Amino acid sequence: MQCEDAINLISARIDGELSADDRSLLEAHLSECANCRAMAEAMQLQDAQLVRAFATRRKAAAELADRVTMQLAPPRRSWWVPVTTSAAAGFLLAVLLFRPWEKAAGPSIGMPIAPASVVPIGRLDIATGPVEMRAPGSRQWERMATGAPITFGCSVRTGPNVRCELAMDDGSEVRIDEETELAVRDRRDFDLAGGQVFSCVAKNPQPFRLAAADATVTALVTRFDIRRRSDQVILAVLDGSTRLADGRAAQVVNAGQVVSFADGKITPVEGSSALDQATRWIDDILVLKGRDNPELNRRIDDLFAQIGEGKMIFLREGELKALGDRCVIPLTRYIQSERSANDETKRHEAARIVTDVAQPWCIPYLIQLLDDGDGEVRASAAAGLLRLTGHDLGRSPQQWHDQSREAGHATFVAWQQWWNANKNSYPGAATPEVSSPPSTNSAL
Amino acid sequence: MTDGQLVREVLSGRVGSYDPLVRRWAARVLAVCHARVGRGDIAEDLAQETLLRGLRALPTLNNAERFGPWLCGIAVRACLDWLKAAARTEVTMSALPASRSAELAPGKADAAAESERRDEIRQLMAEVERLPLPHRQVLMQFYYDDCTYKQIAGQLGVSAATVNLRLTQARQMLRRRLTAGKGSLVNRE
Repeated sequence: MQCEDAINLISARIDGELSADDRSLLEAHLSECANCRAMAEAMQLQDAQLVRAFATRRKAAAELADRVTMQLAPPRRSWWVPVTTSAAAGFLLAVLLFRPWEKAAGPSIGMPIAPASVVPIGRLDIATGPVEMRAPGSRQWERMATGAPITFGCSVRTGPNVRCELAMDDGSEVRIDEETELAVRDRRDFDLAGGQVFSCVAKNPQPFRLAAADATVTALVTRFDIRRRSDQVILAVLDGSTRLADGRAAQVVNAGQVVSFADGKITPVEGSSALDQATRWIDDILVLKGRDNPELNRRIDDLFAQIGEGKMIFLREGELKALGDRCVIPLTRYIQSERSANDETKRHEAARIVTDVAQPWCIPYLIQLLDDGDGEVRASAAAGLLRLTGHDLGRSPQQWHDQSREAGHATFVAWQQWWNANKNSYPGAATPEVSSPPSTNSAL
Repeated sequence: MTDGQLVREVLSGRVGSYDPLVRRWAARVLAVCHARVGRGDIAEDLAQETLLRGLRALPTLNNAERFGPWLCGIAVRACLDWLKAAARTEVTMSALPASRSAELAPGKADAAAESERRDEIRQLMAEVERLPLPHRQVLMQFYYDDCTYKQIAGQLGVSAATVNLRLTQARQMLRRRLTAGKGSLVNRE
């Protein structure tokens, strides 16, 4: 055998494509050719390196699949789903017929198509469920698909458990929490009617302005979170600085500060975790953006930095538990994603960690896991719910484990209803502001 | 279920059956796009577009069992459109920033060894992206997904022996380029 032929066979051997005949031929050659032996070793090492290099790409592919199925999915399984199932099916059909993603295409793929009278200044980039828009001058709220354009003067609102992100064409991102209504006056000018909004303000000479009740926040380049409650406005600034004004007085609020604003008075909110708590809800959106999203990477890095070193992919139980309830969202997503489909051990470990560290705010996430295809995951979630609520709604963790997913469906739905009826008893839950829901609920 | 069965289910109104098709083909579609445009981040956008377009265009698919190659054809067309548009705006590939996909999130306490390892991986991916198209295609199909030679051959319309040959050549090219010395890598183009 010539060395040239041997190289092809070495390649095939690495790839698991070598026939038995070729294998003995190759081995005979290798036993007498030191050069090819060295080559085989080098190629083996290179293969390992390529596998490592492509690990992140394979993850990106899995996350891409998550994003696409999420975009095509009916509204997230939730307690309002049973009553709107037919509406959801209709919505899906409409999505198929009207092809809203054509409008979602970026300029590199195809320009958005908009009626001449409506100039888009941004688009709905990500949504965890149905989002509604009201056109300027209209009284009618209409459901908008991911990718749909945001226009001058429109309003956007979310119902319970729905969060979304608007990508404005100045590069700013405006994330909208559940039960929030936001009026878009211009690409850098918003009015928060109620709820909570997180803004990543892109650099631009024109100031970015967000008004909530009597307070107005203006900023140039920054990231800040603002929540409007019935009696006060809470502002948390992550980067840069903002100016908070009410027409009479003004104050600069800098990165790392959280303040509340009521009756013309600005009061600092104390506590090292105040900033963290104010912005935890955006994790829900960040995890949808995939791993190539630097903000999520930074956030996960920050998370792990707090307990030392490590990345989630290693799933070291001790380290993750030390993270406490903060790893519940990423781990829940991990369990639900294709990434964990072929790794039962890791999936079960992740479920156990979620169960152990879950706090009352995580209850909706545990309820989601009751509908998982894996009995062990369902049982873990049920155990967590029992610990947090003292209830099992007539179905023990063992039953969740032993019986099929379908057998538990009725209890799963019962749990969703239970949470809907009881969430007000769990302050700080994943539905952070239950005290002042805006009028957005009625239409959903 | 085969691709064909899933396709028929989607066409009969069970849109949810498109999900397994997306999961089954996402990596290969992404590999097609990455190989064509040479950039991971752009490839992700194009692959996403392809998977969504695939659902819309599904009624036009003649042979349901050929869903995968058909979808990859859509991906290729999307990439060619993008490349044409990129050429129109006179942004040459070499002027584009290095692939975002090859960059890993900077950790706060990375040891020097870890950072060196990342550099190596980044450099390797950059070299993969510079391979000639036929080699890049085969290598990406192989490493993005657990494809056999036969599957790759079927998709690219070549023989399994050609797949083996191209993979071998790609590996040798990578080895030569990476051992050619760091200086030459940095200075190229």
